[in-house]
Amino acid sequence: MQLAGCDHTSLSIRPSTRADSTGTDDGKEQSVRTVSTHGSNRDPEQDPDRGSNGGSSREPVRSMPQLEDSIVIGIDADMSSASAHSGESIRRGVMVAVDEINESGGLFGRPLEIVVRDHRGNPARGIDNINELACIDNLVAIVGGIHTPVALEELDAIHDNEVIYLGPWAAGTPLTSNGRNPNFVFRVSVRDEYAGEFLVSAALDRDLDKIGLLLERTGWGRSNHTAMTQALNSRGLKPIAVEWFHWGEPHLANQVNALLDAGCETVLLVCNPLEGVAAVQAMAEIPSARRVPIVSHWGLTGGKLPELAANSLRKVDLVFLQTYSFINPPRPERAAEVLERYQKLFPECASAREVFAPVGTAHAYELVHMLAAAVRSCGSLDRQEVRRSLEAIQDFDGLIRHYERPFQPELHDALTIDDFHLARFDEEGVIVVDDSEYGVEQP
Amino acid sequence: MRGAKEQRRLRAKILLRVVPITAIVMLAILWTAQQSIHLTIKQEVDAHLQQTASLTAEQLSRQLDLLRASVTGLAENDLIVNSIIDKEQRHYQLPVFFRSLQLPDSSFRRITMTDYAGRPVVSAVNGDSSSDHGVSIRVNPFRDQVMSGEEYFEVTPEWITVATPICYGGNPEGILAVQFDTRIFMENFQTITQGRRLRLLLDNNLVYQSLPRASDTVWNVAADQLRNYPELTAERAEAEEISFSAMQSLNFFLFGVLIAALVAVLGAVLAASMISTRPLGNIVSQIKSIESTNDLSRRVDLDESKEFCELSDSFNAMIETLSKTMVSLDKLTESETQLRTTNAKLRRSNEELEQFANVASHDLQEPLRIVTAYCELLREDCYDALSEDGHRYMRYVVDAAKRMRTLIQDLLAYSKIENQGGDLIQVNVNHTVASALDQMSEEIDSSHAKIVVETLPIVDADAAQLTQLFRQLIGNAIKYSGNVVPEIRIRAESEPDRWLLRVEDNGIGIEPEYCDRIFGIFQRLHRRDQYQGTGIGLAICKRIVDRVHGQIWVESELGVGSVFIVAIPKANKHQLAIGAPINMEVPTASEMPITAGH
Repeated sequence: MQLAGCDHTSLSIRPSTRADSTGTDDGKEQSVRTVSTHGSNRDPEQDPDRGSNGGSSREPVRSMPQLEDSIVIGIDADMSSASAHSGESIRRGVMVAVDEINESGGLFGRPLEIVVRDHRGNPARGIDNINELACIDNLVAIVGGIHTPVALEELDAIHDNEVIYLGPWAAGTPLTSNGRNPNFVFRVSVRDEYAGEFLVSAALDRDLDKIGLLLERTGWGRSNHTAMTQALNSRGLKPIAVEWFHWGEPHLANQVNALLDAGCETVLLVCNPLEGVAAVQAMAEIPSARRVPIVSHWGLTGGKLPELAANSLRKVDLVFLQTYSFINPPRPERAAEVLERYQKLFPECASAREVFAPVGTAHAYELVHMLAAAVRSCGSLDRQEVRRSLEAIQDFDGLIRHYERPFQPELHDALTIDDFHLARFDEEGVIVVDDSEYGVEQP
Repeated sequence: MRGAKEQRRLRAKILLRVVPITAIVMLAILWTAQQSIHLTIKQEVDAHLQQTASLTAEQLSRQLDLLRASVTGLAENDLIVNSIIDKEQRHYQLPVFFRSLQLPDSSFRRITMTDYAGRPVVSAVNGDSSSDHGVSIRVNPFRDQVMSGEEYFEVTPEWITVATPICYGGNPEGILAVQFDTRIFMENFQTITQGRRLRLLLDNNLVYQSLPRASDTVWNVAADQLRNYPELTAERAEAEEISFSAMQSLNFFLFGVLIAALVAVLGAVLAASMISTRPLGNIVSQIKSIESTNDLSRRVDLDESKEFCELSDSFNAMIETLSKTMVSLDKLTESETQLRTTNAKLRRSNEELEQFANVASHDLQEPLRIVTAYCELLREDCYDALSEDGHRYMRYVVDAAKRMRTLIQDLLAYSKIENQGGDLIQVNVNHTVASALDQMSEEIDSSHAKIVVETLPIVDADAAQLTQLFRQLIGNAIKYSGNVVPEIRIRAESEPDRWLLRVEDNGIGIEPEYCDRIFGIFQRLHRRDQYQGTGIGLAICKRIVDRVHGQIWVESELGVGSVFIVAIPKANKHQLAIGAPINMEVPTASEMPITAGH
């Protein structure tokens, strides 16, 4: 799937300008435009991006020519690595929301501008990105990416800089329950604590009570290990077996076989797209009689798994957690409006089926509007004020649902387990709601 | 005593002549052999050293490849990749893992993982090399290169540094740098024995040397570039004293061989000279004795080995032959003296005879003329007084006197052949025959002779005498034609070395027993009343032919005809004379001979 509009560079958008970054060539007037960055005077030894091809050749933000009247929203996500789809889907959600806000006059009459940083799933890059974005005077918040490990390591930088971090995807429980006070992290996404309960319930609903866990050895994996174990323990169960894997492990056959050897009837999988491919392929290579369903967290939907493991997907019963679908939206009218604007900005998108990684777009969209509401509510761009305002939002009518109070001081997660549903890839690799009773028929 | 002295002299001569030359030749052979062996050994040493250098370069290249591959493989290790992402693993597990690392070479000293910006994240030190250099490897100088996806490799006299990107999702996300101690690496790589040296050069600058510099050592050096590392060169060297240690042994051996060979040659020559000079001295002394006494009747007496006896026998045989030859020479000298005396007498006799004939011929003619004149006067004055017998006697006297005069004139002509002849020149016989026929035209006419002359050659002769020869032979053919008309054919035949000039007639012929006699002086076969003449013509012919070193003979059959053949040597390879044959036919008295072609 082509990521139209993704240039993986810092950019900003302003109202009623052509969206060069969308990659369209039809000449239609777009509502966003790209503002390129310029050189810096930073010490090369201290320049973390110097000579790196992972930093998207960006220049320091301090010297970036800024529009004095703009309000900046930063994006810090994987824009070019294995989970680039997730980063792009988040960027698109932010762009749609910003476009709507700017179209309606912006905030305090000032346009919103987007600055994108690519962390490639690398915490070191993420921390540097946070530090750089936080230096932008008009920056009001940073929208994060899919990776919990990155976000967890960014917590210090976030709070040191007192910059609002909006989490549209990373689900690690410790991300929002980070022990900081004040807590600058707000999330419209899955909380692993809920996800563990949801996935265990999903497995048990299918009478698969011999559950094995296959987890990436990161903070996110450990977060889910805790949640899933607690969910099982609460039912008097425990994992039949737990297997871990590293990022970059090309084959997971050993782990999958170990789980099957232990007698697992299902595997609860926690991984990102690259390792998701390895896990699905490993399961597909198991003889069909021995193969078991995979109930997965949603990390594997942030990349190209349907393309990279198309054949294996046809053999494996894979369902995963999702929170939103533009195909079967919980609030169709609102979804149609957003989709219309989405298609306006990204004309290559012909239908809701082509909105890839929809949770990233929906959550980012929702977060930007919540941020705007908070800014409007407090009447200030002061991050502390805005942070408090976010905690105080009441009756927010969003894309996903209506929130009576999305964030509370002690809980910065807007979504609950009730917002989750199971989904699967259909024949064309599109994420669709899993409405089957018992998954796909084993081939 | 004399024999002993000769022997000593011979022995000394043999020794002086043989030993130095033999020694020089042996020295030259040994020097050439030594040089050749030295060259061969040097080529072998160079080839071996070059082979060793190439092998070292190849092994070193593989070893470096292995180091790099180990670092690259390590960077692909998912524990390390995951540590980029996972803080817990990075902080708690990776340091343990790094400390546990046993990379494939004990020269491994430091390992550092940095983040994408080159900031050290985890480092570990193997051994005690951290004291001076710290724990972390400073990657900033090559950070950009590695983060662009390329591996960094550097060799310095201190460190071999390998840095490689740690990739996730195909993108460099950190750097893994490992340093190996160059000296330990090289020393582990190969054990270098005494007298041998291994050096590693980086762009011709010394990076490593297995031995400290030793100025007094001369090295044989060979070098080769490392495959995949063109800037690195492995150099192997071997001290010449090691390379050519075999040569020193060989030199000692060759020197010993030389001394032994010289001693052997000296002894052998001395022994051979002693064995050979004693009989040789005897032979020489006896030969000198024979020479001094000039007594060829003496013989060499030797009681020695077979070879020397054969030598003395051969010498004796030579003396025998020499003495016989000297007798023959005496006789030859005596015969030559006699021959010279005889020749001188003969020459004098001939001269006297010629002088006598000449004088006699002239002097005898005068009294004969007087006798004839007075007999004529007496017969005229006393015609009547003389009786018939008296007249007949007077006629006899006059005839005899005339005949005697003719004889004397013929004899004079004969004697002049040798002395008054001209030089022998090339003579065209056609012209000569034509001249003779011209002079005899009257006689030919009167006899109605038919004469055919074929093409005749050019010969070396006296033209006048040759004309005289043909006049005589043609005249004889006409004269002795009998009652038939003379038919004469003159032609030539060529033999390899001579011309045969043939005068053929159809005359009365000659009986075979007289064929040789007719060439004698004053020899006649017929009575004077049958055929006139003194009988000296053919003798003159023979003398003319003799003068040109030719031959003349006659082939004849009585009543059929005769063929007079004159053989004249071919001085030069003359061709037949240019010109048509002369066909002279005299059918009638009124007709002149026909001559054509001249």
